[in-house]
Amino acid sequence: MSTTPRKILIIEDDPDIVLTLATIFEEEGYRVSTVDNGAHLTPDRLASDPPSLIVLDMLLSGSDGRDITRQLKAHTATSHIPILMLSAHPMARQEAQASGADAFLAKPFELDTLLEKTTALLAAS
Amino acid sequence: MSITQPNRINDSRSAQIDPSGHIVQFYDSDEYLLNTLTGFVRAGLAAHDGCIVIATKAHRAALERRLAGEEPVRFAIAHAEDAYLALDARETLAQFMVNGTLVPQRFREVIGGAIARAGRNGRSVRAYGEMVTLLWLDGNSTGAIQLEELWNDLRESSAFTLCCGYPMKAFEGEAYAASFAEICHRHTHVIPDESYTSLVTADERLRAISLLQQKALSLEAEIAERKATEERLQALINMASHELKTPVTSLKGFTQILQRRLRQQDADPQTLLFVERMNTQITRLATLIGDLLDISKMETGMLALAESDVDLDELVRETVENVQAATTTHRLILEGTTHAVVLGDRERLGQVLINLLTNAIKYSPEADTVRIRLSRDGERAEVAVRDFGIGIDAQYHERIFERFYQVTDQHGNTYPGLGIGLYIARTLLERHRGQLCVESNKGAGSTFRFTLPVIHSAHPALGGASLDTLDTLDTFDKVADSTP
Repeated sequence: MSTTPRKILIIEDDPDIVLTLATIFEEEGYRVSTVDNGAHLTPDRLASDPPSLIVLDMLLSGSDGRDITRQLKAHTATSHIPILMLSAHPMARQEAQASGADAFLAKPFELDTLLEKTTALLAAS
Repeated sequence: MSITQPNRINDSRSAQIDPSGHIVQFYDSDEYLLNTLTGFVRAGLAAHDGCIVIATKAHRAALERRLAGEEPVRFAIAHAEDAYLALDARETLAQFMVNGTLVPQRFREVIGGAIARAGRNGRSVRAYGEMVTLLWLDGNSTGAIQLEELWNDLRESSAFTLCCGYPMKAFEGEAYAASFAEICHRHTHVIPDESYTSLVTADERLRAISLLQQKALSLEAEIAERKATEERLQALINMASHELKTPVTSLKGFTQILQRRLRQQDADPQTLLFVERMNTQITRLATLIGDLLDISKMETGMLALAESDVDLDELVRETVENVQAATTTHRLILEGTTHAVVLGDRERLGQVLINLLTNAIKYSPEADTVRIRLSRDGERAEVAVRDFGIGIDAQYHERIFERFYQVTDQHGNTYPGLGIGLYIARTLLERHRGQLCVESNKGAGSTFRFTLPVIHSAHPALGGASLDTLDTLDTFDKVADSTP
């Protein structure tokens, strides 16, 4: 791990879920930034200060996590950033995989599982 | 020609058929089909044609009784001169079907040969066949249409009249609309079933057509309405899934954060216990929401499976490890292998096993082990989950798979839960062409075993090779989901 803490970007529209995710990541020593809607999140804007990991909800009000994933994965400046997709829809795993996300976590989730996946994704990137 | 008896209409019609035609007769009752068939053969024999009947044993016997009863001498002579040839439909079909596939060359030899025999001495030939119908009723609609084509090809090289009979009940349901049109298209003459042909006057028939047109329109409207309702219901269920799980997700998240902090702060054991209980109850709530959504999907036929190749041994091992990680009371012992790859929805199959394992733990409070045994019997892979708990009396062995059935203990108290877990498990397995059954005696533990068809054998050296290679972390497949 590098000396500066790794940054995790959370894209999620439910404020309480954002709060739980941000709290747990900060307690684990990560830097956290949050966005409640990915509609204005272009690959170019993200490339200026890229996060080490993106935790993204599949169904956001106003935008679609799968579209965001496809865009980021299609752009050379952002394609390397691992994406962990979250969803409450039981059938969403395949769709997450199809859109190019690197991992999937069903809601509600165990904190330990969230952290395991985070560590694995960061270690591989 | 004056027609007085409705049930003889089809006889007279078939007698007037274009000699180069390929006729299809739809029918409701066997009696009606036999009228057509008898008329068809009777007219052929009267004209000194060769007649071939390829039908079921029952239809041949009934036809021959009628022909022999009406004109015994003519029928006996025709029989003796090969001008009447009767073949069994199933046996004849078997002569040119290899491994479920029609072999055109064999068809031409077998059927062409019979037609040549019946057509000796320059006789015209008329044939009646039920092989297409057998294929259709076997569910092989593609084969039936192929066979109709083979008959049509044969009719191009040797002229003969051909008649087929299809029971209308074989086309019940909207799904058959296209293939029904296909069957009609393959014939030069289509004769509707008796509900139409039993009508005598032109006026009666026009009335019947008008009524049918009205019925068709109203059914179309009703189907469209039902589809719209189903779509709304599906949208509602999807929405409910999201709306119910969102608050549970943050509840669970906050509870687990509290749990961590309390542990770090050496909080008093009771406070820690309460928070742990909260977490357990929230997990239970999430499972109940999942079960209710599953059952609504099953009831409305909206449960979709995302099928792919699944390494069964690997799935079972992972699932057992995950359930073991969440239980302190029992040791889960995994034995044997299936070396099987099955076609299925990995999540759903995992869900079935989790259900059986948590049941085994729940219903054996006095025991400390659960045994999971994998085995293989040819093309079936088996997973057996054995507990050493309260067991189930034989009279309840089927009832436990019913919806909302709950097991009671010796005091008549029910165990917690909705009573739908095993119903969901069995339904999911049936959707995977599998089976789920139980062996148990009261007080002597239970063994739940399920079998699945094997699509091919897994190569132990390449374990996991069927996983998505792009997913280098194996994160999709190797890391457990939180969904219990």
